[in-house]
Amino acid sequence: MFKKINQMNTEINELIQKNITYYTLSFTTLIFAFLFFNISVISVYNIYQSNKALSKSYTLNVYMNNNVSQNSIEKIEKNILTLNGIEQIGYLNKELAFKKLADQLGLSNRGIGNPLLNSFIVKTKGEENLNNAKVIIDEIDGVKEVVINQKSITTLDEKIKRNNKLIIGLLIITLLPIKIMIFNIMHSSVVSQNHDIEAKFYLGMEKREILRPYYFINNIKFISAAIIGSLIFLNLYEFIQSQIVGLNYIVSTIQAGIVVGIIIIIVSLVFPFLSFNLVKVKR
Amino acid sequence: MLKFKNITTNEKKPSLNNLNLNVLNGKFALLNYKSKTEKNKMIDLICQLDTPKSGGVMIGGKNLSKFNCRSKVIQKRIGICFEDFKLIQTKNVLANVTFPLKIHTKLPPKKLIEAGEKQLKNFGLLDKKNNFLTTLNLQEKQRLNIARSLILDPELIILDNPQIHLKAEEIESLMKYFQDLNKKGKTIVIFTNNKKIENMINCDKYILEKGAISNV
Repeated sequence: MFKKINQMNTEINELIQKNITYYTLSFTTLIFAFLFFNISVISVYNIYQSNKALSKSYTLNVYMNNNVSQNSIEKIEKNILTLNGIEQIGYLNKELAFKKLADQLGLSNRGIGNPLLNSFIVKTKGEENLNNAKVIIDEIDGVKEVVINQKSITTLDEKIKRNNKLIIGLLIITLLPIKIMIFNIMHSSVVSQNHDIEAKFYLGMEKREILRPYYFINNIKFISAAIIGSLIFLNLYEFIQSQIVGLNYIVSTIQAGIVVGIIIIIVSLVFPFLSFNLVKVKR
Repeated sequence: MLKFKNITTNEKKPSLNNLNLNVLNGKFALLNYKSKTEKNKMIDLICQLDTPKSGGVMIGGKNLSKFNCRSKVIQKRIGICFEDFKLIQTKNVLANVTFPLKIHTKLPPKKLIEAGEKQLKNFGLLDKKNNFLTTLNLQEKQRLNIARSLILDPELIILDNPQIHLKAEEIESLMKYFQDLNKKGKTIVIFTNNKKIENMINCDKYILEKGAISNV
């Protein structure tokens, strides 16, 4: 047991000493690959979260009759909340709405009769829920009119579709090449040693024994590059988020850290098994 | 000592086809080959890196096909000098020469070094023991290759073109050395097409041609 560990230790030392430049360069490249990998992953995650929020923003306005009492308004609100796919509901008092409108238009509201109605602004998840809600709310007593702004719905749909395309594009353009790059670096670090591997094989060493130090170096290199790359990324992410105003909509650093952490843990657990297949010797 | 019995290999067009060879204990055999692939196939079979489609390879009376994995017991009894050296680039001269000892014996490091140095001294490489292979010329690499093949004091010595890169006088003394070893009871099989060697040594001569072996 100790002899084997000692032997592996010697092999690792020899490999690193002899190929120090190669290992340093490939390790640095791996760190950068992981940095870009994380940028891609978090960009995709941000777009996904933004799409999730957008899909919950299908809005309809419920206008009520003038004679509806406060009690009935509360009942209507409760009724609406029981419907499927309702994400949010907000009550807009007609006086408040009128004041807002007057302020927007720069008019004085004195002496002008308020033509507006008390209303609810209802947000649903998806267009189907929105249309279903409209049909049901229309039938509720005290509701005068339910209005859906078709233009904003079309814009929202387009935005979601564009985001979906962006996710697929990012996956193909960045994640795939980065994945290939990472795996090629790992693969080449063993393939470049094929001469020695073959020689040891011919001299009677077992394949498992020969490849053990290569797996070890590969896995350590992979996991440490993944951790360092991710930490650099998270620091940059935190810096960008705190320094650039107006980036409140992107996910928090902690959330990004959790996502990156989970991915790195999964990849680091899977990689040692995958690397078994990556490393191929002549026989 | 080394027996190939009705060997046919696995390829679509088998490189070895019903090959038979029997090198008895303590014999010196020379194999003249026409095809490198056929010769390499024979070495692969000896190293247990390939298995034949039919037939069997026996070393020291043990049938290699009966082992599920490569047998270290058998590997320990064979010393092979490879045509392309198969030296390990990441190791220095001493580590290369002691490598078979390291994997096939349980000698302590001190004894390993002693044995390695002794072997290097025999082949005139002691002063280069700490050098890496990049500093050796081809002639030195060949000497190291031969030194390594003999370090386990094997019963069966396979020499694949051991004369390559060596000077004429070196080849002559090397052949004498092998004949001495043979006289001490070692079985030696040498693969070569070198006519000088053929004339230099007194041995059983065979021709490996079209996947089979015939006597000269």
